[in-house]
Amino acid sequence: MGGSLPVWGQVLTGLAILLLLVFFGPSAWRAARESPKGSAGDWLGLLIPIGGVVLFVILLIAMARG
Amino acid sequence: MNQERILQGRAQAGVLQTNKVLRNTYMLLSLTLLFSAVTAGIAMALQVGMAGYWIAFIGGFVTLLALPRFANSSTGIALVFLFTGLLGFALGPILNLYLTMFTNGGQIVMMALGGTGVIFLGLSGYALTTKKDFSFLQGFLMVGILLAVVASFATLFFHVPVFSLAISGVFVLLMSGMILFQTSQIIHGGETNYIMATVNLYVALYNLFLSLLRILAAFAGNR
Repeated sequence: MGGSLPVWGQVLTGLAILLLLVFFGPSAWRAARESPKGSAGDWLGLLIPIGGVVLFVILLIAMARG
Repeated sequence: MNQERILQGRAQAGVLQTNKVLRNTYMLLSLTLLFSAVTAGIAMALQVGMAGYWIAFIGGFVTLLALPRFANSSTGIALVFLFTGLLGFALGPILNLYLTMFTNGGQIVMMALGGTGVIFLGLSGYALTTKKDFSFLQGFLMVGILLAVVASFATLFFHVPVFSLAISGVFVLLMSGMILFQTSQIIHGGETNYIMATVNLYVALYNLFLSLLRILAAFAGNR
């Protein structure tokens, strides 16, 4: 565990994770509870652009591999 | 009759306000991206190491935390340039790493850059033309991004390349959602502050670029 990260790096990383969860966690959970809920149609509408992005990234990888 | 005119006038004022926020956001975003490119170029030319990366990154993060307090003043614009300049500077060592680590590093960097531009234009165009309301994504994006950031920190502990690659893929999807959400917020009047809109879009583009860079390097990088 820890890979090539020195002990001080592991401590700092752990601290950063803890701080992120403590500072931003509560507001993120609150936003998740209070933000408008999307209907099934809303989520389906999201599939078109996101699907387009996925296909485009696959195309980019194929082009890069040449 | 009078009431109808008043309502029409209010609707027109709303459209004008939305167009103004959109125009100012894209103008500021273009300028900050150019500024970032300049600071990234400087960092690359100076061969700044990873210590410089961390200093610029932490400085950028602190600036980001301070930004909402100054978002309604001219100081906010100066802070946006400081923030984007620092993050651009932090990109320098990363780009140098890719250019030296891979024989086709230059091609990978250019493809990630072009890919980021195409995805941004495509998603913004989609949100602008369909005028769909993506506000339902807010909670999902906030929790998703927080968990993805925590997971990406965790990759520093567990050196599993597949896990790191999967997180990059998740980031591409989350940042795409962020672009749709932010553009939709501007169109529907949910975001009236162009400084905060610019920062949100910039962060999305920055992460999208880095994630594409990682994915392309993993699949097509020649050592």
